[in-house]
Amino acid sequence: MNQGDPITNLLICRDLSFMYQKAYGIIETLAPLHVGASAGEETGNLNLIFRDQFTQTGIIPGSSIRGRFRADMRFSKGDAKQPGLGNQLTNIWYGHQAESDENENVAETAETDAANQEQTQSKNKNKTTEALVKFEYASLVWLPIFCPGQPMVWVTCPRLLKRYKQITGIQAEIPKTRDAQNNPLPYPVKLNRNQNRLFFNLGFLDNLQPTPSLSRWIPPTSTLQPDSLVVVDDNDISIIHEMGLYRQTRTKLNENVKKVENFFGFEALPEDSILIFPVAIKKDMPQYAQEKLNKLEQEHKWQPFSDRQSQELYFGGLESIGCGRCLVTLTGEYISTNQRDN
Amino acid sequence: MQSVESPPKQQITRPPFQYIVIVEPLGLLYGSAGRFLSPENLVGRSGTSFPPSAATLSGLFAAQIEAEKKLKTSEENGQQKDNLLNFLQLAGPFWAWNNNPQNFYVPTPFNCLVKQQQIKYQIVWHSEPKKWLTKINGKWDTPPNDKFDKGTWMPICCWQDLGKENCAIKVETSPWKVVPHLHPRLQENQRHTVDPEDNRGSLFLENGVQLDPDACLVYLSNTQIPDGCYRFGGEGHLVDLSCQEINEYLQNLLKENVGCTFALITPAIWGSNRQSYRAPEQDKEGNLSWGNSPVTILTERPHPTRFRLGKYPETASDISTPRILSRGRYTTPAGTVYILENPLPAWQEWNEDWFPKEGFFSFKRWGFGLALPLESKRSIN
Repeated sequence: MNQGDPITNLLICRDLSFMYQKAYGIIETLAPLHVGASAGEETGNLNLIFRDQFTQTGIIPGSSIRGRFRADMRFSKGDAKQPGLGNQLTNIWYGHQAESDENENVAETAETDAANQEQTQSKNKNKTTEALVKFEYASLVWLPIFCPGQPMVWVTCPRLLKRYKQITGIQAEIPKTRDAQNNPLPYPVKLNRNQNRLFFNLGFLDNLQPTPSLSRWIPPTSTLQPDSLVVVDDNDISIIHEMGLYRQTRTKLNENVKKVENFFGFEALPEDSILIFPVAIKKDMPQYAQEKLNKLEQEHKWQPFSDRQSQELYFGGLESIGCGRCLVTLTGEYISTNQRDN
Repeated sequence: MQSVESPPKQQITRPPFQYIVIVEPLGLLYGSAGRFLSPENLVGRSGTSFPPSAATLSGLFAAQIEAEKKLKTSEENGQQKDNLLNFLQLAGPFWAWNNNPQNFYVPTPFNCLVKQQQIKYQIVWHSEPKKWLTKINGKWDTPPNDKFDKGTWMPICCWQDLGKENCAIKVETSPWKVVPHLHPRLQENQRHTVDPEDNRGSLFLENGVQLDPDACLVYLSNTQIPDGCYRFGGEGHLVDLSCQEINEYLQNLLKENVGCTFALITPAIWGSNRQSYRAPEQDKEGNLSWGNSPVTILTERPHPTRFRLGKYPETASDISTPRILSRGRYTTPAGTVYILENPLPAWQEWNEDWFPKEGFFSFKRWGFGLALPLESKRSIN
């Protein structure tokens, strides 16, 4: 039982339907991607990535994705004619925070004194609004692994494909690595030569089953090579994932002498990983949001990349050493209906 | 703001459960992390809660039915939707493997002693010598003094095998893992956590829950809403929700009279606004409203629970402001076994007056105390 569950609220007709329209984003990493695990999960000076509890593969939490979209909308919208537009749109689409993170009257900002600021804050108290767009975490679909003689194969497992299927709604049957009695089956692969064995740095897979239909599991927008695919068992993905992670040890040198003062290691998802995250957009836009958008003369559609489908975004940390650059493509039901409308 | 008419005062008959509601998360779910810990209030993790109660789903249903009602122009349809809400009845939470949601898992009754994911002993109440005994090597005996697994779930399709000799029903542990998740709040103009001097702090710890990808949450309902993507259970998490008609086996099981010996598969709330009991409210003479006193109850510590059925906060804006929490109550945990003098009908037939009310709502609406029959009590021959 829960303290403070949202609960029936019939005494008041509210502007509130729980139905959402679905869309999804495909992330292709263009550089190693490090989204750190929560503090407390760090081990010594090794900075781990955030992992899924069941497959132990890397994920990007929904709040990190939302934060990136929030920040980008805040900075990209608006111009001299409409200063502060980005802030206002961010608050409409991604929810107004519990405290003023905008000054609706931007012209005044230069002269805001303490009293004024206080007023703004009290005015904005209890003005939190719910986001119209919601994100859930991004999970891996394909993970590149170095493989002598191949030289790269992309690996996945039924669990990861299951989530891909749930989010995209494709009708293909998930490739099997076990039969109904839970006995192991030959792993499905799609390789350019009919190999039935693959060597990795830490072992090999043999008795592989060529399965041409695997290419259906590549996101249509992706540039992934369709002849280097392997599906391994749910129990194997975590060890293969450990092999495939990008790891680096970084040292801090003494300021005066070329001597190591201390060091830390970090891990990241390698470049060319493919991830997927669900997006949901409120079906019936509440009255207040419609009015605000009309006032700002903005479209009632969520179009974070304006008229484009893809955009480069940065996720996670360690940007200063070249991590985090990703190509994000938005697609799915909501996006395609909007494009038709245009 | 306009108020909805209150449901009619006379005894209402709610339609029986017809659907299972299948909830498949698109990402994480929110699990209540329990109450605030302080040196004066060392409650540990006792207030944690997952999965969300049927009341959570009730809010979702209500909002959806309300929204549909607004879209209907014809009066007749609106009327129909009104009725839907007045007679809404849900129950849960349960869960299932998503290749077979009809065979969902319910809390194992407390009279089943579980070891290594199997029901090892079933204890049965004996009116003489007033003890819970189990059959060991064909003889009734006190159960071995041992530690048994708690918090397990058994498949509903094995319910009728309970009480049979030598039935080793396989039970499952909860198919979810807790994911504590820090959400640091960043500054606006640089990727750095906000200044700790800031009165909101920079860290928010969410107690997320990840459900096994092969599992889904299941609830019972007598009303259908459109399949689709909904927000569910806190922190703005999203789920795919679908309704399926319940199969014949389940319909029959729910129709069976619970008799004198039954187990709860959902938590129960009995009593008044001021006091919580383990059975329906007593009158001044101490008689229970279900007509007979329990011979015995096999239960565990009650769980405190509260809902947002209070007033609206004074500062409420017009946009989906949650109400304040109402009075807390104690729930008898699911799995509790009751032994009564006289038999009772099926839960669906139980009098609405037995259930506490809060505002306009009877707690029967949320399926509290949903009971299924266990075998009848015995005495040693």
